[in-house]
Amino acid sequence: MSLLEVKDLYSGYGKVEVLFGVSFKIEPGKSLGIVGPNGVGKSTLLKTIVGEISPKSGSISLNGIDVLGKGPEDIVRLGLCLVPEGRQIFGGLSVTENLQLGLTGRKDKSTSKKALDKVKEIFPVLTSHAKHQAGMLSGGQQQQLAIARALIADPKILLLDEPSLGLSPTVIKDVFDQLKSIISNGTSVVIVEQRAHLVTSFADETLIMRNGKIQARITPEDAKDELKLKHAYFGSDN
Amino acid sequence: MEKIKNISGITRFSFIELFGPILIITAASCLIGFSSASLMLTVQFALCYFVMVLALQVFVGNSGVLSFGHGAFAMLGAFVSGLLTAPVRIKNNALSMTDLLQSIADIQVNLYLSLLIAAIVGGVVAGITGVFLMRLNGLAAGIATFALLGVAYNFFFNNTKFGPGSQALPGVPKFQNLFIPLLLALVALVLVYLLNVSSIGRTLRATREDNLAAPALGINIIRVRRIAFALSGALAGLAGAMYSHVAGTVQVQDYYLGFTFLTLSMLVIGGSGSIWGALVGTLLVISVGQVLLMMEQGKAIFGLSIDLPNGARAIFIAATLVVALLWRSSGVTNGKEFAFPNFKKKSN
Repeated sequence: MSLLEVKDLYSGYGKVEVLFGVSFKIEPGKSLGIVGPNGVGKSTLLKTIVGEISPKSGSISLNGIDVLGKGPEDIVRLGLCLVPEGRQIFGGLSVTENLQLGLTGRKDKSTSKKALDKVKEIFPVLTSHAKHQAGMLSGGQQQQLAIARALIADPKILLLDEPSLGLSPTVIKDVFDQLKSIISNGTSVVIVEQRAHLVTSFADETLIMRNGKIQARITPEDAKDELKLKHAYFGSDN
Repeated sequence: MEKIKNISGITRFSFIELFGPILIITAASCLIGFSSASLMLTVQFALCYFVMVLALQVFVGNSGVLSFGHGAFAMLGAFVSGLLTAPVRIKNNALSMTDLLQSIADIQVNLYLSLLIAAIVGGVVAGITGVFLMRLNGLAAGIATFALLGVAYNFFFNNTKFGPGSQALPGVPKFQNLFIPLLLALVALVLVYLLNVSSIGRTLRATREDNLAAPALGINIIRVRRIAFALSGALAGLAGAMYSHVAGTVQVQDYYLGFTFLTLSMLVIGGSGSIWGALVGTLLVISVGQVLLMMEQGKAIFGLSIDLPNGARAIFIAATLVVALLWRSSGVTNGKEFAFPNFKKKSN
C-alpha cells in the first residue's frame, strides 16, 4: 500500500477544468517532484490533495484512507501537510508562535516540546529569531519557518509548493539540503516547482505536467539527458 | 513564571504586559474615583465600558471579524441581572411592569450571583448564535451581527413580558463603592490577557492574519471563532450587568447603537490587537468625552469656561475615530501590549 495514492483525478475551479486524469503514488521516505510551466495545474493538484478544492472525480488515499471530502484541517491530522506557495507565514506573530501553531495539527501533543526542539535543530536560524516577528525575517528564513511549522505537525508526507520562489541560489541550496535531512528521517516529500533542474536531480522521481495531465515521469538518471528533459518539459515540438 | 507558561499552550506571558495595565487602571480609578461622588460614578461607568471593550477585543481584536452584535449580549446581561436583583415589591407594583411574567417578578437573587448568571447567559446565547454567525466573514459577518443587535433591541423594546419594554426598569441595586466594579474589571482583564496568550488567542490571531493558511495547519476556523465569540459574549453580558448596577436602572436604548459604536470606537482608537489598546482607548474616549461634556454643560475647567453646542462630544469622538484610522489604522498603541519605554540609546 502506497503512502499517498492519487488515481484518475479531475479537478478545477467551478466550470473551469484544470486537471484531467492525474494519477501517481508515493512510498514512505521517498521524494517526488512535480514540474511544469506556469498554469499547467501544479498548484491546483496540491490544493485538491489537501482538501482546499473538491475534485470532480477520481480518488485520493492516504495510507489507504480515502481523504476525498475531508476538510484541510482533517487532512493535516491524517499526516499530510502543505507548505503553500508564498509561504503564508503569520507575519504579525512571533517565530515561536508560528511554530506553535504547527502543533494544532499534531495528533500526539505529549511530544510537542520534543518536536519543537527537533525542528529548531534542523533549522538553527529559527532559535536565534524565536522572539522576532515572523514578517521581519528574510525570504529564506520565512521559507525555513514555513517548512519547520509544517514539520511540527509530524506529517507522514510534506507537500511544498514552489519552495524556491524568491530565494537566492545559496538559500535554495540550504533549503534543499534541509529537505534531504527531512526525507532521511522518514518523511516523504512532494515538491512542486517551475524550475525543473532543481527537482529532477533531487527527487527519486519527477512528474512533468502539461495541460493538466502528467506527460512524463523521469528519474534523476533521465534528467542528465538535457534534450530528453527539454522535450518532456516543453513537448516534443520544441 | 515557568508554571504559568506550562498552562496549556501559554508561551507569551509577561508580567509587565499584565501588571502594567492592572497598576494603571487601579491607580487611575482610585485617584479619580475618590476625588468626588460624581467622578466616582464616571469611573464606575468607565470600568463597565472597559469590560465591554475587553469583550470586543477578545473576539473582534483577535479574529479581525467585525461584530456589531455584542451590544445584544450586554443588553441581555443587563436585563438578566436587573430583573434578578430588582426588589419583588417594585417588579409587582411598577406601572411599567404590569405585564411582566410572574415567575420573573417573584424571583430575587443577590448582586454577585446575578452578575455570574448574566455572564453565563451572555456566553450561552453567544455560543448558540455563534454556531450560525461564525460561518460568515467580512461584510456579511458585520451585517449579520448588526441584525442580531436589532433583533435583541426590538425584542426587549416591544416585549413587556420579559422587561419594562420601552420604559426603564426601576430599583436595580447600585454598586455601593468603587471596589466591586474595579475588581470585576481587573478579573476580566486578567482572564482576557491569559486567553490572548493561550493557544486559543494565538490560533484566533492566526485566522485573522491569513484565513486560508490557517486550515492548512489543522486549525478549524469556525470552531475557534465560536469559542472566542461565546467567551466574549459572556464578558459582554457581564459588562451590561455591571452597567445596569452603576446606572441603577435598565433601559434598552442604553445598549443599542450609541453603546455599540462608542465601545467599538474605544477599541479601534486604542488598538484592537491588545488589552493595552483596549485600556488606552477607553481612557482616551472617556476622559476626552468627559471634558467635552463639561464644556457642553457650560462648566468651567481649570477656571476656563468654553461653551460647546450639544452634540459636540459625539462629533469629536467620531472625528477622532476617523483621524485615528487615517493616522494609525492599528490604533494609538499599534495593537501592542504594555511595555516600559526604552530610553536606552541604540548602539551602532
